[in-house]
Amino acid sequence: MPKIRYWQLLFLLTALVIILNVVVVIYSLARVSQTQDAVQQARQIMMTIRATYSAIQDVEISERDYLLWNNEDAQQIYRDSVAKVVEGVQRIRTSQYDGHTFAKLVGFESLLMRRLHVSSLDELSFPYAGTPSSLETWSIPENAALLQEIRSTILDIEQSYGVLLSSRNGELEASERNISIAVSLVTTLGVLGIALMYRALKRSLARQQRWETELLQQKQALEDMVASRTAALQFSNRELERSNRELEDFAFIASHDLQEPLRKILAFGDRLKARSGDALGENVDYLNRMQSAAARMSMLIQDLLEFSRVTAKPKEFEQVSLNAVLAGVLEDLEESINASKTSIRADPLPDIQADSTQMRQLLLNLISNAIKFVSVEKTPEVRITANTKLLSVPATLSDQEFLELHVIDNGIGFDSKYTERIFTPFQRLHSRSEYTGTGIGLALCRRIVERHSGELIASSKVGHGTDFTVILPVRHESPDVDTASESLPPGTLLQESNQHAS
Amino acid sequence: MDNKTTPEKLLHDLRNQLNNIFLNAELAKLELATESSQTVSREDLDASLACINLILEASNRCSEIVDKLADAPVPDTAVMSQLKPSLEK
Repeated sequence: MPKIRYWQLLFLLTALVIILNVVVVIYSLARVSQTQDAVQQARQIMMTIRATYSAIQDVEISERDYLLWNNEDAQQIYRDSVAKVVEGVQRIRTSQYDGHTFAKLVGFESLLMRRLHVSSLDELSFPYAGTPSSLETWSIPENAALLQEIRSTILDIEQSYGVLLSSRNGELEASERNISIAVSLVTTLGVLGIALMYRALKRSLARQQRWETELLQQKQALEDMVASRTAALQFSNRELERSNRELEDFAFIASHDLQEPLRKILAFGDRLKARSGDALGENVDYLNRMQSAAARMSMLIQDLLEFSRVTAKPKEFEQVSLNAVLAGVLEDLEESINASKTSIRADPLPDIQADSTQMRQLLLNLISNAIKFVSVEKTPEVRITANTKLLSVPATLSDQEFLELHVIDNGIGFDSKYTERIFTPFQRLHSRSEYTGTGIGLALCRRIVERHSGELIASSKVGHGTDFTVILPVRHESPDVDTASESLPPGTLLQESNQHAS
Repeated sequence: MDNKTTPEKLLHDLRNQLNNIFLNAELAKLELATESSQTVSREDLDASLACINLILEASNRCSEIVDKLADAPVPDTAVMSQLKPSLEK
């Protein structure tokens, strides 16, 4: 059982015991009160009975005094005594008594009535105007016997009340004992509870203090981590900027310094070819090869320059009609398309916010790539599909509309292990004799897509063609600002897109 | 397939092309100097050899620039992708 459950159970049990004891105390107190009232009542009844007996004795004496000595004062004593008897009987009647003594009290009242020679004590109204009985009706033995009977009844009643009082005293003691036990228990439990509560409070405070310390430590660690990550990010950004700058400088120097001697080589090569081409005969190939090498050098430098300029001197994003861009690209590639007899099918493309020049370059490179690496066994086909979808961008914690563009060909394809290498500048999977080019086209494409906060991914299989997937945001929050996806690991958007599709 | 970084690969490619230029220019020069001397006028031959010399001179200049670029601390574009800003660890 968990510790918290154990404490809860203990608390409940203690509360239950305390409540039970309080109930016992309340009940016992009520009983004590009742018993005390009953005892008091019994004592009062006993006193009233004795007083009544005393009054009836006075009645006896006043009657004798009047009858024997014709004492007129005895009449007044007689009337006062009768009045006391009646008052005593009425007090007894109004008192509460139990069933056990009821019959005896009724018997006592009946004896009194007999003694006073009336059928009901209610007949004796106040002020009592009666006189003692005449000598003719007065009988000493009878009266003495009646007195004796009354005394016996009183003794009987006293005995009964004695037993009753003894029983009530026992109840009183029991109740007092219960109260003592309950109060002791409640007090003990209370003290114990306070001690436990104090201990629990102390422990809770200590635990809370420990948690607060841990929380502070964790907060500090988190802040340190954030600071460290921020520093690392800033360092990465600086390194990236520096690397971009260096690449641009490198490309600029290479371009600027090499272009002039290369132009000289090409120009003098042309002149040489014109002047001595015939004289060289079939060895004019030396000049052709020299010219090709110079042209290729020039192309390499131009490509590098172009590659470095993607992020170095970008144009602001604007609303671009990809349909118009594609139409222009297909027009430019018309000759190549016709020569390779490539069939091109394209879905309608949406308008997006982008750099129009770079979009043109992107589509040109991807489509010319598809046309270039055709399989001799198949009729070349290029399919361009597009759709827009909402994708979740983790860095912004929001959904953003993206364009998913596919350029699919049925060309020679490549081994999937080269999926990333094809995007490395100047890296080629085939020799120049097989396929022309500098090996920068796809690297340039990826750089363009990344500059647009998108992703470019290739999937291919040897002999089965290639599918280039371009994912680009349809809108940018601010023009030419690299948005959140810039900070995403490669493949995040594609993964998101695939999840979305499934 | 090699593991050279972008500038290294570029310099390598440039050197290859330069070697091609040197080789073919020298071969053309030799051809002109030996085989074509009988069929080409002296004036044309001198002009052609002057052109080849200028080409070789320009190639030397290119070679010097490529060497200079190779000696300079060049940016590594392979590393650039790793420097992409990211909070992922």
